[in-house]
Amino acid sequence: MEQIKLAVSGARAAYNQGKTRPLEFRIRQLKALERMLTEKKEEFLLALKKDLHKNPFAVEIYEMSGILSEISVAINKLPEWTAPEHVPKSMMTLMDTVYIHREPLGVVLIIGAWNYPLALVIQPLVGAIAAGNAAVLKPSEVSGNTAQLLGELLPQYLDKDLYPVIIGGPTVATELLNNPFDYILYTGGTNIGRIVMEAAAKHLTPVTLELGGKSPCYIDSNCDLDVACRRIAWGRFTNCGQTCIAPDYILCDKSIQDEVVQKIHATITEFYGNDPQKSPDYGRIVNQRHFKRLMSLLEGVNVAFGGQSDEEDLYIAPTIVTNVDPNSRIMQEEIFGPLLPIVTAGSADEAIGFINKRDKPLALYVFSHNKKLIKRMIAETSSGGVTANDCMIHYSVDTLPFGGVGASGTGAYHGKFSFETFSHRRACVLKSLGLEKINSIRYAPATDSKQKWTRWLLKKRRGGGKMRLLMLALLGALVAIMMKFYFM
Amino acid sequence: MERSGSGMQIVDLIVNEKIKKNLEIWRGWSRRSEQTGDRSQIYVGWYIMEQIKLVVSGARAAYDQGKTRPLEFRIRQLKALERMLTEKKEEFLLALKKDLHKNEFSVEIFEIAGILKEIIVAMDKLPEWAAPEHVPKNMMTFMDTVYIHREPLGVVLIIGAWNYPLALVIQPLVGAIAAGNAAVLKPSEVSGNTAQLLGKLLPQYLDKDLYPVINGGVEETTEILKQQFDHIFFTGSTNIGRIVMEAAAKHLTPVTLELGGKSPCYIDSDCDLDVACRRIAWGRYSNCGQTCIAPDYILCDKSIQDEVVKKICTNIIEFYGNDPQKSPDYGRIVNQRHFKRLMSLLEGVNVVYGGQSDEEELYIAPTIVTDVDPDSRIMQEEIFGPLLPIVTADSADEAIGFINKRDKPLALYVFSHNKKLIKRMIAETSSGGVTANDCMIHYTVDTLPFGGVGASGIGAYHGKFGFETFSHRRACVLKSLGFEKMNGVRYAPATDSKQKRTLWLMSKRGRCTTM
Repeated sequence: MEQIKLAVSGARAAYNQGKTRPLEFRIRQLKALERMLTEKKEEFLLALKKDLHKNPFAVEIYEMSGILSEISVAINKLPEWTAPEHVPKSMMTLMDTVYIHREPLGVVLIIGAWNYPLALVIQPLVGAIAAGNAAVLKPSEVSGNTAQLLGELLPQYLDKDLYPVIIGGPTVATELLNNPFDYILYTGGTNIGRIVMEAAAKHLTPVTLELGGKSPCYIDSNCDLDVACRRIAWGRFTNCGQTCIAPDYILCDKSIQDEVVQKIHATITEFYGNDPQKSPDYGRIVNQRHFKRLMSLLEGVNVAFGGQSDEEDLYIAPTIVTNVDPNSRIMQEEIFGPLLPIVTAGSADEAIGFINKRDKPLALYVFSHNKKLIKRMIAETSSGGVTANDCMIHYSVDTLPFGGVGASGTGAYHGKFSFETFSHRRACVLKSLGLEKINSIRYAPATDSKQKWTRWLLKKRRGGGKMRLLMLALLGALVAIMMKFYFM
Repeated sequence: MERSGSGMQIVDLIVNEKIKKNLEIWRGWSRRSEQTGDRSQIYVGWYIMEQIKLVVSGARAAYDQGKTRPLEFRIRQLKALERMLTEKKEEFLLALKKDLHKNEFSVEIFEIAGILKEIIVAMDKLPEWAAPEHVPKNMMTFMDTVYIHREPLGVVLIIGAWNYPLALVIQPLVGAIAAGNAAVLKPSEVSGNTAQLLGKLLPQYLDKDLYPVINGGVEETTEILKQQFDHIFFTGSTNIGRIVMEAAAKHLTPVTLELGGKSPCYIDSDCDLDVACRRIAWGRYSNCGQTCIAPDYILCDKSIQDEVVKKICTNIIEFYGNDPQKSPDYGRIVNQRHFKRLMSLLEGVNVVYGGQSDEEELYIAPTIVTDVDPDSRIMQEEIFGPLLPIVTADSADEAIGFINKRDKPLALYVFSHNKKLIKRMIAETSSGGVTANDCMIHYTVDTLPFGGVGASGIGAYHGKFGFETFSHRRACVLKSLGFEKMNGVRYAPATDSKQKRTLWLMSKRGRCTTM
C-alpha cells in the first residue's frame, strides 16, 4: 500500500514540475506509446491470447487500430485543441480579450476493464497525455497477462514517474481510490461504478464512468433479415460476447422469430464452422466465475441453438434463446457472453415501451429499411449511442463522443472528447486598466441614470446576430456609396 | 389518507405552497404534542418524505408524457419565466431587500439582467442547439449519416444558494428548460423570502408538474437527495457539495457543483492602483462581500500595501459615504450565524479600516486587514463577507507559489499593466475562471463556461454550456442494409487479405478529409 501512495505522490511531484506542459513533450510521449504498440505487438498478441483467446485479427481490429488512430488524431490536432478559443464578446467586453483557456487537471486515474484490456486503458491514456496530465493506470487484474505486460512495458517507453501502472485486485483498487485525483475514468460494471463515484465524491473528483447495461436490438419486420442477422451475429459473438456495446437481446415480432434464429444460426456456422470450439476465431470466457454465471443464465430458458460448453476450456458455444420471459434471469442482468435471447414484441410501440421501462442502455440498435421508424426509435428512447442497421459502429468514429447515460454511464471520450474530458476549460477575460469612466456606472451610489446605462450595456438584444449583419450591410453600403463619390 | 390513531387527517396535496402550509401545521402540532410523547414526529418525517416523493414522481410522470420535447413548448415556458420576472419585479425586489438588504440597482445588475439575457439567448439559439450536429466521417462510415443527437436527461434537481437567490436558481433553470428536462427546484431556505416567493409564483407561470418548487431546510433537502434524478445542479459550499455528490453517487447521477474557495487577487506593482483598487473594492463589497467570485484576499508587495489600503478606503467612502450603515447601497449579512462567523475571523488580525458592526442589523462595515498571517483563520476559509485581508508577497513567483499551495479557487484576479505577467499567472496557476484587471467580469459573458475546478467545483454553465450541462450527447450512426460485401472483411473466419482491407477501411480520418 505504501507503494501506491509513493506512485501517486511521485506522479503528482512530476506533474508539479511542469514537465507535461509543453506540447512537444506530450507528442513525444504519444509517439513512444505508438512505438510500444508496434515494437511489442507480438508480446501483446500473446498476452491477449492467454487472457481471452483473442486472435491477431481481432486484436488488430478491436484493440490496436482504435488506439493507433486515437494517437494519430491527438498528435495531429493537439496544437488546435490546446490553442486559446476566442469566443464572441458581449457589449461590455467589446474592447477586451475573451477566450477559453484549456489546461490539464493534474493527476488522473484510469481504471481499465478486462474485455478489451489494451484499448480500454490505453485509449483513455492517450486523451490524458494529450491534455497534459499525469496518469495513474490500473488495468484489470482479471486480464492478468495483459496487465502484467503493461506494467512491464509502459515504464520502458513512457515517463516512469508521470504514468505509473498499478497492478492488483479489489484491495489495491480500494486503496488507490483513497488517494485524491483530479479526475477518474472508470470502465466496468455499474455496481463498481457506483463505488468509484462514491469514493470520488469524498475528494470532489469529477468522473467519467463507462458502464454497461442491456443494449436492445430491435429488428423490424421490414428489413433485409439476411444482412441484419449477419451483422447482429457479428456484434453478439465477437470476443465471445464480452463487449459492452454488444447487442444484448433482440426484440422482434413473433412472426419473424424463427427466421431470425435460422439466419443467425447460418451465420454462426459461416463464421465459426460446425464446431466453434475448434475455430481459431472464436473467443473464450475470461474466467470460471463468469463461465458459471453465464451457464446459470441458461437455466429455465428455451435454448434454440447452441448451449454446449466445456468448463475446462472456458468455452460456451454461440447460443440463441427464444420466447424469453422478460422476468427471467437472463433478462435481468447484462449478459456479457455468447448468449442471445430473443424477446417477442408485437409492434414498435411495444418494443419502445419495453426498452423505456428499463435502465438507459449503453447502445441501441435498430434494423429496418424504414427511416421514419429508425428516427422514431431514437426520438422515443434514450441510450448512450445508436447504430442503425449495424452494430457497434458508432464506437469507431472518433468524431463522436462515446459514453453512456443514466445507469450506463456518465461522460464520454474518444478523439477530441478524450482531450476535453481530461481538461479544464478556464474562462478568461483580460481587460485593460483604462476606460474606467465606462465602469463608473456600476459603482455605488446608485442613481437612475447609472441604472439605465448599465441595463443598456448588459442587455442582450433579440436577434442580435441579425442586427449586427444589418448594421454591417448598411455600413458596407455607406462605404460603397462614399467610394463611388470619391472616385467619380 | 387518515391517521385515525392520532385523530389527524393528512390532506392529499400536490405542490409547493400547500406543502409548506401543511408542514407548518404538522410541525406546530408535533411540537405541542412532544410533551404527550406521541409519535407525531415520525409522522411528520414520513409525511415530508411522502410529499417529496409525490412531487418528484409527478415531475417524472409529466416528463414521460413527452410534453417538454417540442421546442415550442420549451420556448413558451421560457417566455413565461421572462414575464414572471418583469410582471412580478416589485415582489422580487421586496423579497430580496428583506433577505439581503439588496437595492433595486444591484438586483437589476446582479440578478435580473443575467437571467433575462440567459432567457433571450436560449430562445434565440434553441433551434441551433437542439439540431442534429453532423460530424466528419471516417472511411468506413462515409456513406452513412453520422451525427450527435442532443436530448434531455429527464428530471433534474437544482439546489440554489442564498447570496443571489434568484439568479442561482433561475439561470440554471433556463438551461434545464431549454434542454427539455423537468426540473425540481430547491431554493435556499436561508434567503427565505425569495424562496417562498418562488414557491408561490413559479407554479403560476410555468407548468406546475414539470417545474415544482420544494422549500424547506436540511431535513427536506436530505429527503430530496434520496430520490433519483438524472442530473443534480448544486450551488453552495464545498462541504455540502461533497454531501450532494455522495448522495448522487448512489444513483449514478451526474453532478454540476458550483462551489467556492478563496479567490486570490494579485496586484502587481506595475499597475494603475487607482483603477485597480476601485475595481477590487467593487468586487469585494458588492452584496456585502457575499459573492462566490468576490476577490477573497489581496496578494501584493509590502511596498504598495499602504497605498492599496488608502485607495480602497477612498473608494469605500466614495461608494458608501462615511457611514456605510446609512447607505442604501450597502448590503447586510444574511443571518446571525454568518455574522458571528465573520466577526470571529477578525480576532487576532490587524484591522486597518472598518471593523465596526451592529449585530441587530446584521451590519459589518467594509473592512480591510493587513499583514495577514497565512495561517490565521481568516486565511483558512472562504470569507464570504466584507472583510478584505492583504497578504504580502515579495514577487510574482512568491504569489504563484502561495496560490498553488492552496485549493484551486473559483476565480483568479491579476492587476497589472504587464501582459506577460498576466499570461504567466494564468499559465502557472489554475482556477475556475480568470478576470485580469477587473473583478467578476468573466461571469457575465454568456459565451464563456462558468464553473470551478478541483475544490471549487465540477462542470460549468451559462449560455450554451447550460444547455449542454442538462443534455445527453447521443452518438448516432445510421447505416443502410446494403453494401454488405464491404462488411465481408470484418467477419470470421479471419484471413490475411481481410485483415489488410479492414485496417485500410478503419484507417485515419486524416486521409478521408482530403477526399
